[in-house]
Amino acid sequence: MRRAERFFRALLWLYPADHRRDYGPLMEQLFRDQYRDARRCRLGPARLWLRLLPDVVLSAWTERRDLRRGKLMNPSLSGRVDKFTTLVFLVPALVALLLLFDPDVLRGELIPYGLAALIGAGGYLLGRAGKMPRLRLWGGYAAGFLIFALGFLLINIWSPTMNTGIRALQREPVVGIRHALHLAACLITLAVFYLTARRSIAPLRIALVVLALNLGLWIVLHNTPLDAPIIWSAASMAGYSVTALFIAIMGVRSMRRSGLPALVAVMAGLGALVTLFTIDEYRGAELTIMILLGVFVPLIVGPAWLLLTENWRVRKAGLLVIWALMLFGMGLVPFLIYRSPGVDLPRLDTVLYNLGYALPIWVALWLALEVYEREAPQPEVTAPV
Amino acid sequence: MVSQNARPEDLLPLTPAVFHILLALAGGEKHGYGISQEVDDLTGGQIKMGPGTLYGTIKRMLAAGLIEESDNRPDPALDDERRRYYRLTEWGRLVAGAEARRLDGLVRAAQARRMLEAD
Repeated sequence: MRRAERFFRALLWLYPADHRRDYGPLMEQLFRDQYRDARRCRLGPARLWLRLLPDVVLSAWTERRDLRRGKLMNPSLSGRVDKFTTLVFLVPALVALLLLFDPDVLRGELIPYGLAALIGAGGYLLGRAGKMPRLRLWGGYAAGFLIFALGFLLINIWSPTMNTGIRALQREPVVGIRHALHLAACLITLAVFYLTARRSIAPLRIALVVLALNLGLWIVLHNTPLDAPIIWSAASMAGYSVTALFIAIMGVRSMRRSGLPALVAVMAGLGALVTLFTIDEYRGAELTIMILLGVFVPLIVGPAWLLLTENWRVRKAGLLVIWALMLFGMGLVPFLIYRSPGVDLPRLDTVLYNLGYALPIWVALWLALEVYEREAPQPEVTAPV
Repeated sequence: MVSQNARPEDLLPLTPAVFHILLALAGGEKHGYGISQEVDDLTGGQIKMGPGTLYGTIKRMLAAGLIEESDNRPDPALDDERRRYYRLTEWGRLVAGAEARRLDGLVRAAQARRMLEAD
């Protein structure tokens, strides 16, 4: 009996990890029951194996086929949450927050870099070790970006708080070089997304819309009496927006396979991107407000909303509202703070600049959710079984 | 989980595995082994559901809202409390009824063509 059980347990590796996790123990239990019944007659076990082997092979193939096609009726949207995976991605964010509000915990320039490297290496090793099969399903880019973004968030939040590290060196022309490097990173990310996306038509169309929005905003800003951004800033803005767009699309798509943790992770990554792009300009109380909006919303409020809601439409509407509050809130905060005694034109320019990248990112998120809704069957729509 | 505009007929024809599980659960909630035994009885031993087919089908039926997990747990003294029990939803009952009517129509058509006379 034990040998038969072990053999059957080994056969379960033919199934996708999610299926094995959810139904493996139940299948083993049923096998034990059926095997016990079969042993009552002499040839029973042999007959059982003759039935079981094709049953396992065919049903495992069906599960894998459905997973590939994304046809399964979307358990990812039915409210089932892998809390372990979610925690794995929320914990680094919480650690980053703790470090931010209690900078005396650790001192020294190398430590944040070391922590970021540890986070990145930890995520990579977890993925490699197969402890988190969902990580592999996302594709390396989504998970990789998240790990990169969280590490970078840590560095960027740490540095201005401590006035150490790369942020202390940010004077022209260093800022320009940094933006150029960001743009290069964005373009590389974009190329990777493009090359790895199987169906890239819809995202490319959307990318064109976002680029057009960016271009339009840049032209408006360039032709106003305000302090117009120079060309590398506009290019950098476009790079950020397009990267954000692809992260949103890939994240929303990966949700089909990986469930809510994928979306939580991508939201956190996007939030980190937005935050590190925005908080450059601010110090003191203003910086705190920006970080509250830019860090707490994507890392705490957004994921909490996802975990607490089950209906897709409620989720979608909530996400759009939360992100609108965050993106446009971050754009308007400086204006609200500095509007008296008079409008500070450079500040107004900053507001417009912030809105300039906020709008494309929000549109990107909205379109990505629309793409997902159109391409993936929702649980409300029943499908033949 | 089920669209308000959905009709039971939209899901037809059901696969044999789905219909057999619906029939097995029509008599009350059961765990996986109970379902496989009931299907065995219903079909006179012609259909024996293996773990792969049974739980793959159950997974799809749960997603389609045809069945649901029961919160009732048996007395641990009487049964293994790790077992999961399943029961029909109202939607599942409607779909099973629609499939039964469809099959009934086919049987009547076969009767009208005297295909059952050999029995």
